[in-house]
Amino acid sequence: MPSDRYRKDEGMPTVNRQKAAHSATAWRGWLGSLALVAAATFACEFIRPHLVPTNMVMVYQLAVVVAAVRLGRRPAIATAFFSVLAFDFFFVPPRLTFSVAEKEYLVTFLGFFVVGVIISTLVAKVREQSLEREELYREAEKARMLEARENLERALLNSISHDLRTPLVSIKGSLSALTDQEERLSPQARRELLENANDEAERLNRFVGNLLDMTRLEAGAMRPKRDQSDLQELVGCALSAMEKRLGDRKVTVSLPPGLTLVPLDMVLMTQVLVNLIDNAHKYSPIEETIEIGASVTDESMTIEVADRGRGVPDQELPHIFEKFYRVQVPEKAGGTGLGLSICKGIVEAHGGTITAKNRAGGGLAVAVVLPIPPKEEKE
Amino acid sequence: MKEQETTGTRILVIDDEAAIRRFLHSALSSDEFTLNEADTGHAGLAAAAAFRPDLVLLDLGLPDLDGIEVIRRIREWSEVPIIVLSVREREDDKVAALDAGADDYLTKPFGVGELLARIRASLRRSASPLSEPLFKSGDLTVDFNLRRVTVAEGEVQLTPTEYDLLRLLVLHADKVVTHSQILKQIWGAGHQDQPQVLRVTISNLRKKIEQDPSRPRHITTEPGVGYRLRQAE
Repeated sequence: MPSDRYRKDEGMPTVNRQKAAHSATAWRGWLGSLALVAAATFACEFIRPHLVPTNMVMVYQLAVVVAAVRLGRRPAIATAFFSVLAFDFFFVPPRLTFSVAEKEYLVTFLGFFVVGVIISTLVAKVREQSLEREELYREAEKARMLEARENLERALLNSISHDLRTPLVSIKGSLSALTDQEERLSPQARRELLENANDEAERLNRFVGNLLDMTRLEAGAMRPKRDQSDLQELVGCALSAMEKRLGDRKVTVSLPPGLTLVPLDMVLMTQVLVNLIDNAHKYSPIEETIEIGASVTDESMTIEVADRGRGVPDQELPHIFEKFYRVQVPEKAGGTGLGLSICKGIVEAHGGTITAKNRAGGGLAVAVVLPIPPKEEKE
Repeated sequence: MKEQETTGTRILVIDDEAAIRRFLHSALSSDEFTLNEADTGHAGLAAAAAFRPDLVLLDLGLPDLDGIEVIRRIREWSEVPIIVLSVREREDDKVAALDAGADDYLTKPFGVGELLARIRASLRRSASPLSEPLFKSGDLTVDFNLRRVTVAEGEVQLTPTEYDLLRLLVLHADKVVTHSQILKQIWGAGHQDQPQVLRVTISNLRKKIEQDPSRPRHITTEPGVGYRLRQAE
């Protein structure tokens, strides 16, 4: 494994990176230490008239500390070494020679150098530890994310398993009753079992469709076509698909007058509208009207689906477009929890945005905004 | 192949899934229909030649031959109505099949009601091409002799293009017509890349003949595929 190549968190990256950093800045270290010693020497020159030479040792020690913190262990030790030389040469009598008049100074030299080395080593160790800590933190972060992902996958599988099997319970139950218990069932009961099995099969089909949509979105395989489409037609398609489910539900549609052509994928956006209408239908009482409205500007188009249900608690609003998120309602939730996240995926694949807010007077309003590219761009 | 009494309409089912063939057989077997089955494209082509069906139900996901290829080969010598069975999200496949000569499509899973409606619509066309001058469906009446279109509120004035479009859809009543088929027939081969003109015309037509243009009852959209004029019973 080439040690000078940057690899993302594999093998021994820290050590390699440190080595690389050090070799690149090694010459910087030497230069730095000489500069520090020079600086310390100049500083000491200023205090020479006022203080005994021994005090200058502290200035040089400061230089060693700075070198240890900023340049590393080796340059710091070098600084200590050069400091001794500089101190001896410039300030220990006889000045401007390396010889020493009073032998006590040798103790000073030794003491200073030893302390310098100790400081360098300690500081280097602290740096190493902090780098290690960073690395451990990164590893912990990775492990945390992995665990979170595994948890999500487990929750997903549980949810999918549940949502796939529930309709099958009714289907299998109804059909087996019809096969095994046929004589014992009244025509009324038989009819109900069959209708129930049929409804549940449709529900299962919708869920499978949602799963497939979600898979395609995740794989980035959703490429919306950009055909000039009629907004009114889009609403018509969605309402037609929802016709049976909506039953007696009142729906009002308000669109800009005249013909509005917007570039979008009719199939995918119909799916979005269907999901939004389905949501409004599930979470509001049957007697309340669902309102569909659209408006267009030069740059964008907005479609809004609004209901008069109970809305969504404010703190949950940002989460409702997440996969498998279901707002807690006392009555049965119904639905798969995927509908809104599929809407978000499709809308964002169009380069648009989807937001939800609670309405004054109660209920939820979900707005889809799609950009309209300038006329020059022709797909 | 069993010799069947040739009572009733002969339907050939080409599908590689045994369970689906079984379901179709049970659902369609009656005095009305006589069924024959094939489980591969090649077997299907052979059966089409031998059995001479009145209608073909063709699954697009065959293992040996591309569904489009089966359609093309059948179309080389026969105008027999072909209904393709396809899955969701494969609008491009459906359009390709329709443009290659299929008459209609069904999205799996489908209900028997839908299946029978499509079968009848396809058979109706081949049995009697538009020989009647009058078309009636719900509150919509089209008199081809007088070139007059009436709805509940009275006569409506259509532009020549709108009338041609309506006529085309009526000719294919209850069957789907793809965008490109419409564009080619009404506007000519050069306009296939400009579907806007079709959107505009459909929108105008709906505004004139539909009670509620945002919930059309006559001209319904098949997203990604085309349009279908529904004939109310």
